[in-house]
Amino acid sequence: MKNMVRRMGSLLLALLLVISLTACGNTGETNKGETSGNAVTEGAGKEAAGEKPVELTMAFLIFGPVPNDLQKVNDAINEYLLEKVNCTLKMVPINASNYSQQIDLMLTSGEPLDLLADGTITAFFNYTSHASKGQLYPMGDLLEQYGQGITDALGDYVSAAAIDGEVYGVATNRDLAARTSFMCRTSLLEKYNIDPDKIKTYEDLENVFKTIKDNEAGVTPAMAGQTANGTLFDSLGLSFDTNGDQLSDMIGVLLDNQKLEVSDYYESDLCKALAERAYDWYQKGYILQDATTNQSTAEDLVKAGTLFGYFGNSKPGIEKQESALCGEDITEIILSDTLSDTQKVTGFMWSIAAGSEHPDKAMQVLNLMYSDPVFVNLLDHGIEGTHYQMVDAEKGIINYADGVDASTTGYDMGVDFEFGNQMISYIWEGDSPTLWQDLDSFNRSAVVSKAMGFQFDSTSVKTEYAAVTSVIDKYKRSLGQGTVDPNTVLPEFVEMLKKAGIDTVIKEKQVQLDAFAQTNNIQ
Amino acid sequence: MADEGKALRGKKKQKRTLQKLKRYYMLYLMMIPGLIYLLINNYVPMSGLYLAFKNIDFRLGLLGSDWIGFKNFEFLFRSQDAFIITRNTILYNLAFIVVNTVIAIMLSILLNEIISIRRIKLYQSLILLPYLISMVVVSYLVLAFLNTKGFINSTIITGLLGRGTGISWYSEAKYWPFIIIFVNAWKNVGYLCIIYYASIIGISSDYYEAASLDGARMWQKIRYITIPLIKPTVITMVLLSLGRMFYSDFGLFYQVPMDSGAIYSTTNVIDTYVYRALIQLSDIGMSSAAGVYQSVVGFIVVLGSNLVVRKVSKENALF
Repeated sequence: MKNMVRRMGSLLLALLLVISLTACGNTGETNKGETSGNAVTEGAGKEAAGEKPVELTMAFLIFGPVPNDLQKVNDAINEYLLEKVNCTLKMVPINASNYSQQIDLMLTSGEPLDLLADGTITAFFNYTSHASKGQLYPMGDLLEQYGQGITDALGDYVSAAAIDGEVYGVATNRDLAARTSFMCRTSLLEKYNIDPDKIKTYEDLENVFKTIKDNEAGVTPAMAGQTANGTLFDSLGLSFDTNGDQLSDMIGVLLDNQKLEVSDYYESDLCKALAERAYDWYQKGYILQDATTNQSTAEDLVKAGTLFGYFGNSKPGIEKQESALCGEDITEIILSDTLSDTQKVTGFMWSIAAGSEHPDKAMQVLNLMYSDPVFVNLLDHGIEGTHYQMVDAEKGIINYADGVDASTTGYDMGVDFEFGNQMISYIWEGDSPTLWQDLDSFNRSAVVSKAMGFQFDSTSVKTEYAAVTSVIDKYKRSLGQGTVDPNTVLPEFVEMLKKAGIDTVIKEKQVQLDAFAQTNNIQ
Repeated sequence: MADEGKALRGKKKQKRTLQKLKRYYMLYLMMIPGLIYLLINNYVPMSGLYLAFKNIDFRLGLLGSDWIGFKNFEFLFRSQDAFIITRNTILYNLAFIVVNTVIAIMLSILLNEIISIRRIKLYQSLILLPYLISMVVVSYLVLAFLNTKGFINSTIITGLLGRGTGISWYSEAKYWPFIIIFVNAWKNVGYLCIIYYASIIGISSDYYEAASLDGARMWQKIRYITIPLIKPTVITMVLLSLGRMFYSDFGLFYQVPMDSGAIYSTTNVIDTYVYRALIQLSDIGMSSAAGVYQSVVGFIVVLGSNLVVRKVSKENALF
């Protein structure tokens, strides 16, 4: 019996091995097939201006599946690009869940890659590390030569991602600032005659929470952030309490975004007051009671009917976006000023890979992405008549093509903010027809942090940085969601941070910030 | 003389080995896939240990990156993390061994006293059932009990005991040693119990009959017949789990506490720590360092427990 089991075991293992080997073999083969297929299309491309058209590879981030009609749209784009800049584009969509690894692999393995979406949102990107490791192509000269459209669209923000004075990535033109708002269910606001315009302070908010808590059984008035691990520190700490700057990771922040003074947020009085407020709200039942174990987003909880509202970043058009996610009408109660800092601008960017053979062509294509509505609309919305149709040609308003809707369309990736200049693309019917003007004035109205453009490089203090990160993991969520008593836990948190070496990190950040200020002449 | 004898014996041994090889070559052949699997899965990755001592820089490549000695290990020891996770891993495993063994033996003896076959089957299945449930499902069962509005808070604490507010279980570290040990026992005792039960029904009924004739009571029969006779099985099972001292059930320590930061001090074990390090730091060097730390301490613990095993019963020792 025992032998039998052993034999079966090894047989199974052998089988597994064989299967995995053949699986590898298969992917190898399909890859080969793909490249040879491309070689054929490349050869068939017409040779304009006597120069052989080059093929560029463009990697970008998507959140859903690869659209069915990607190849169709890609062909249409190629036709257009051949005419414009005599090159073709190979679009490589990569899912958000493994974008970061896949890009690292492409950059290190020498796979052909010319244009890539990069940025400083750590969940997807690793721009700072790519740039400091020399994996990205310095764009300065190319921008001057070919990038007029980019510079026009972005203005001063074009160099927001500069590292040591050299630009390795340009931000996409979208919402480049944010304000903090409380998003909540319109139906309940109306039911209790609450005027959203009159809510300005914590006291106003608390009154609303109290009304909801007392009258709506089973509905929690508020959630600290939009995602399950969002805290009041993230959502309100440096935007509503003060016009600050998180300096991307909240490890060493600017409490006043007009003063280049890095300090520990968790040690500040602001943090203490906010933690106490969170605890008070938790005790009173104003914020999510099962915050520690909750894994749902705020939108899902609103949809389920157990939540009234939540704190989050917002921009013009947010009500429509959130209403769609929540399944009912959402009202935005604006709390903070509109703020802008490096993180908000450099979140999504475009870079050219250091290994690109045709960086000049890549820049020309990129320039079109910021200045040519035809190209941008192809990328954003696909082919007219197949994927969308004009509703109002003058105002540039579109809707799905006949016989196509959101669930059956072959091309709707929903990443319009990623393709260069969103503000020259068409507007969906139902959105405000002046959406782009609104967004533009929103961006311009922002209080811009003095540290705009500053990128922190943590490599020299990475031991401390790692230790600090692990301490924050342990304490931040429970303190920022009010589930623990800050009188005992906050001092412990601050002390553990000190032990982990947060002072060293902050000191290094200050040194780098001072150097940054000096090279850029910021007072 | 003695040398000659030795040489002769050596030759004989060689011959015997050859003979064995010839006789069982089919079986050895069958071993090959398993060996290859072990080699690929357990030995080849070991060469990656060197990553822990490097400052990974993709421009220079994995092999070309700079050696930085033990710098990657520093972050482990900065915030007492190394101490906490080592302590948790070892203490929890010891507690599991003791608690699970005692409960499983008790249950199997009780099972043996049941006469109705249908009932035995019923109880056996009920006891084994939790063992077959996935940890993710278990974690939600626990959540249903311990949630702020869960069974324990709403029915027992505020209901029966009449206290105003419940306990927020997921932010109070002090309760978790009990919860973890309880959940682990609930889940794994069934399996152990079946093994002990099997060895109890293997005991010849003659002993019990003779004892009854001599007027032994139930407790005396258990004390002087059942327990001594299942002792070898118990020892083997305990030794097996001692060898796994430094492994921890990832699901139990990650899923069941719902990854709640406030209770890391009593729920963080090496496996969960390494996982979090890799996910959050995305620094290959440092997460390898955490992995190396696990391997080294695990190796020491295995050696140590083997030493103990050898003292208790030599034939059960690994080496």
